[in-house]
Amino acid sequence: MAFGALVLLAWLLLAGVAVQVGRLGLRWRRGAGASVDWLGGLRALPRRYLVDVHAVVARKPASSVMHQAIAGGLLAATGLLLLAAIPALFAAALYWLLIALAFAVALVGAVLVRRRRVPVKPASLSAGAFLTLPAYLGAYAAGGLIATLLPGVPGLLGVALAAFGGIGLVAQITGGPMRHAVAGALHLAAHPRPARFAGGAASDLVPLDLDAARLGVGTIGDFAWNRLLGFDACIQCGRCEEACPAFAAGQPLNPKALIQDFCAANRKGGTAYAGSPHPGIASPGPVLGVLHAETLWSCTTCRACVAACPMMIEHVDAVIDIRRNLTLEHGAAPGKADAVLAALRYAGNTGGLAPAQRLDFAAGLKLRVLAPGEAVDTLLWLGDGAFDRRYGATLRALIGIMRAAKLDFAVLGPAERDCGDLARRLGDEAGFAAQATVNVAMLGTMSFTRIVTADPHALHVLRQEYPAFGGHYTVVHHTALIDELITTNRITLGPATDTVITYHDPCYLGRYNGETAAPRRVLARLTGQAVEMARAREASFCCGGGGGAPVTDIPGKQRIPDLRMEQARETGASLVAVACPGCTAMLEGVIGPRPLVRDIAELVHEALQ
Amino acid sequence: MNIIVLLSAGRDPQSGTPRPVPVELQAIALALALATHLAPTTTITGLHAGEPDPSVLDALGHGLTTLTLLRTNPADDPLATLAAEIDRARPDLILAGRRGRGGTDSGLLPYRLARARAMPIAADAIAIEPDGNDLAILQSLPRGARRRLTLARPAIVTIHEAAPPARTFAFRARRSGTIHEKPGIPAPSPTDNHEIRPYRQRPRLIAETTQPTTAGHLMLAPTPETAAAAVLAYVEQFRGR
Amino acid sequence: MIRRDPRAERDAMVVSRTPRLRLDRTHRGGASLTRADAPVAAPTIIHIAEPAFLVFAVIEAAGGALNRHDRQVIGAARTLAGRDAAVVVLTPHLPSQAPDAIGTAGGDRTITLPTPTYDPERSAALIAQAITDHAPRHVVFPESADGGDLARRVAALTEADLFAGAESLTPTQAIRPAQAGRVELRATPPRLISIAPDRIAPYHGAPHAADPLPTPAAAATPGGIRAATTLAVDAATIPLDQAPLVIAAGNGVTDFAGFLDLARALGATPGASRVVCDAGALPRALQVGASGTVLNAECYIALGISGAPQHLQGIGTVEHIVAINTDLHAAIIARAGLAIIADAQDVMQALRAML
Ligand SMILES: Cc1cc2nc3c(=O)[nH]c(=O)nc-3n(C[C@H](O)[C@H](O)[C@H](O)COP(=O)(O)OP(=O)(O)OC[C@H]3O[C@@H](n4cnc5c(N)ncnc54)[C@H](O)[C@@H]3O)c2cc1C
Ligand code: SF4
Ligand code: SF4
Repeated sequence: MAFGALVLLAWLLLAGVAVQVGRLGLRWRRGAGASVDWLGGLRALPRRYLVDVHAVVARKPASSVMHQAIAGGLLAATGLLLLAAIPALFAAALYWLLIALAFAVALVGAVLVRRRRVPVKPASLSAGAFLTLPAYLGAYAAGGLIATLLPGVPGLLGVALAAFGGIGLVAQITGGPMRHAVAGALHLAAHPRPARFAGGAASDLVPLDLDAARLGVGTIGDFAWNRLLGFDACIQCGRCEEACPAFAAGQPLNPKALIQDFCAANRKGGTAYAGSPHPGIASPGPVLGVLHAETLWSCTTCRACVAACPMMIEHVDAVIDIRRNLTLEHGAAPGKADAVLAALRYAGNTGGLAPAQRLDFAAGLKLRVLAPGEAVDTLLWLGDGAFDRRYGATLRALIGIMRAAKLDFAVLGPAERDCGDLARRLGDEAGFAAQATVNVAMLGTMSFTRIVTADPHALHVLRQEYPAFGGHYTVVHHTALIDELITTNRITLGPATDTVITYHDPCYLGRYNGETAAPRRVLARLTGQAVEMARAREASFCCGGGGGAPVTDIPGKQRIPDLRMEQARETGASLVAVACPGCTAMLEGVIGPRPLVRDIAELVHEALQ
Repeated sequence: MNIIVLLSAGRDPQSGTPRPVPVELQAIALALALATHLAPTTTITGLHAGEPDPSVLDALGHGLTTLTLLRTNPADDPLATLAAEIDRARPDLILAGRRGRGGTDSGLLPYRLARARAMPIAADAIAIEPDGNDLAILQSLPRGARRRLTLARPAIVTIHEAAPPARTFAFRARRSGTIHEKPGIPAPSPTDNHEIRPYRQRPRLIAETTQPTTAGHLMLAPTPETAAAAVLAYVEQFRGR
Repeated sequence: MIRRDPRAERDAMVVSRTPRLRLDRTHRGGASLTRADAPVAAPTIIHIAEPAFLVFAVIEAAGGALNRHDRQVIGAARTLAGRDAAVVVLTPHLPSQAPDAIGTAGGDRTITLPTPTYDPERSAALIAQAITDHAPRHVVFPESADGGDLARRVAALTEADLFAGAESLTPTQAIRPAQAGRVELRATPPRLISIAPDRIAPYHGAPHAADPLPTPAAAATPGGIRAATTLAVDAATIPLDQAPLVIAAGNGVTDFAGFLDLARALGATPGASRVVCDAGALPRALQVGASGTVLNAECYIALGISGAPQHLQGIGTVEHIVAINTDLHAAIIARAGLAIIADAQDVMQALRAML
């Protein structure tokens, strides 16, 4: 009796899920079109879930156990119940024992889910519907367990309990936490960046059709449907919030709240967001009817949120999509953005300086300037940092190293234009496209085997974003080059010192391009005392310099580089090794007594023998 | 009210690429601000005599919606063309930048136009408001000083760099602005026998009164009074000169 | 390809090597034209009775005295006139001792323009009339705000071209920048010339006798400018980017009320470093630097500011910098014309007491 009712309940719940998925589907259909390889996506789904999602979830072992218990238990129990349509199974005692076991695991899971917020709710977790979730989960699991173990009326009461929990859970699919299960699975199959799961970096921004009727995302429906689906996959775990440097600095951006704002913009009613808000912002703003522009301009595009998100949501793409609309349609990029974008548009560099000044740092070095039609082995891409006196010291050190290694290299000199990174991150896709087009055409007139650059932003753009504009290059970061020169004995270094050095991973090198090993190998040759900050490699904490954040300069309670420098101080290091002009400027802007800031090139150059 | 903003072909000082002249973009912003004071019937039109130079077209990205382009040879004297257009359009107010940036950069054209059309002209405005049938102009003078002028309409007013900032650039607006192209009046300007050379920086005269002792002067731990006296003496050297 | 040699350019920018190397990255510095060898012995007064031709010098003489730019205008006219021609100085009404000043500055005649109030249309008409009356070979104006305006009015009235903002001038050649400052135009000096400030040397020779000429007959003017009032300047409210004198507080300042009070007393516009604005000690609008305001001031007083690159970007074109800092090695010290190694608080108090 109870068994039959339980099976019926499972089928009814499945039907309920189907109805709810349909309702969600209608919501996602409001989005713009996107081409999705459904077959490939569905086929890859198990792998994406078990490998890629698990790798992220497992960074927090307790959550991992919790999720395995609750999700595994629930899915196994319900799935098995559905199979009871097969008479032979229905009759098998072992079958029911298995179901009981699954419900028991789920019950443990439900307890673990409750424990996350009781007695103390961590700040990064949401309240609201999440507070009732453990009750529904517990009711369904406990009810199922009772119904499978106890005969008669108690069993039927168990079914009733399970029905209460199950219906609560199914109801939560459209408005509450359970949405993540459905949306999460579909998001994995229809993910807008399938290349992410194939081991690629897949952190390039996608070009915009500049002739489109609407540029970027101006209303929620301008997001592609599978982006809307992705937002609905958010389980409000708060990992992005914990990772976000802008949030930590008290700037008005909380990536978790951002995703929930998108969800809210795409539905009427439903349960209100009950997590921590965008710092300092209480009421909804005008952008998409939910957001304040400051929220979007606070983002450093560091991708820490994306790397932390177990649901594989692409926060940065969304931020840039809206910025594109704000900048291209409304000229609304704040702070000094308009001046910087104009400088880039008209002078080809973000400082608005004379192109010839790019070589000022190299006065007396007699660099070879590559002319059209000429060939060289290594092309040294200087980047816009070359206009900065401080970064000039780094470049001179790098050139010293390259000369010591007798490399055949040249620079572009005045012909080099800014790669366009800043324009692109500020949403000025037209400005970026102009830079990319000119640079690709210019590079096409010369031949070289590889490009070396000390600027991770230029590296990222040249390596990952110029291919869409027809530029395909082998791009090497200077730390990788130095590593190569050391391992192949092209340069020899003096003995390692015992200076305590910690290395700050640039976002655009580490997270965007997965290069974290080479700089550490080089550092290990320089000092016997390399120490790691708590947040390093793919989990590195941004210096605050990316995404045009220094240009838009949205106020917070603290400055991001001050936070990062504090993390460096905690290691006891007397020197922070950097590998990016942006990081150098941001970290050197920190006032008061602090570790020295030196580029790896400078350290290696000093250690040359 | 009918406002015309004169636009010239500008160049970026560093790279030489076509770039709108900043004060002309500020003039557009002032016109837009003025339009909010006035009836919604206010029209603002950009006016350029010459070729469709990208620098002029880019003004459309900064809040200007309509541009009249009078095609002439860029070497032509634009005076006759502009004067004819003013006779046709009968503007109440003509705005221009105080100087061009990319051509002869002499800032003379608005004055010649004012003379040719017998209009009053005022220079270096940073704010314009209607004042009955007249215009109230706030003029920027050196060192942050200001002068208030009352100017009869129609008038030509040139705009100073200290005026409120230009509207930011929007790619969409740049693309969707309307351009009315018409032929201008050919008027070959008399060839001036100027020799053109790349610009060479020449030293500036430094303050004649500057005491050699204070140039690059370093005082190590002076008494506060000595230090204060030195600061005052230094500041007084160029103040009100 | 254009090759630049920043080292050589740097050498060209050295303003003085003693007591410390000081670079003038603004290109505003240059050799001092103060003459140690100016004639001291009883000066003979030069009379040019029968001038070969006339050169007009139109000066502003604001406040009844010649300023630097006025003297440079007369100096330029003197250069064009040489020994045989006469410089006629067109000036607003001057106090009685002023003709001496005009003679010393190199003027041979004066024409007083009766313009008691600001009336550029009338001034232009008077000058045009004087040009008709005397047919000068050249007319030199200051390329200042009002002087530049007047020059253009006269050019339009007389249908002549204006060689605007000359930076170099000899009797045979005038040079001015054009095309966004990327080129220079060279020409034989035309009739109407305006000269950029601090480019053309004033006259340092023996004084000339500045004899008055009659005032031109006032022509009727259209009267398009109906009224003009000059407004009082309050240093505290001048937009930071236009302020001539800025005093700024950095992390080394603790008494911000005292700082603002000092700024008021000094007639300087207050500014601040980012650290100070971040801390909320002074409003964000006061921030000087790359992410704040870029100054165009003539003088900048930095109190307790280290001179980080982003801060220096905001004062890149400031010619005169005073730095008061306890640290001799602070970057701002190397950039300062007057560097004082002292506690900012103490100096602030002493300054306040003196004002
Ligand atoms: C992207 C970016 C943009 C930035 N933009 C700006 C900007 O626009 N403007 C800006 O100012 N900064 C800017 N900064 C910050 C800049 O790097 C410096 O951190 C800042 O300028 C330092 O301010 P400060 O000189 O007041 O403080 P500090 O560097 O702390 O210097 C204080 C100085 O005061 C001196 N001092 C201490 N006590 C006394 C005393 N009693 N009497 C006299 N002197 C004393 C010290 O010797 C020191 O030199 C920016 C940084 C970044 C990364
Ligand atoms: S990219 Fe970085 S700054 Fe932007 S939301 Fe994500 S974590 Fe925050
Ligand atoms: S966006 Fe991702 S990381 Fe952030 S709360 Fe949602 S699921 Fe967690």
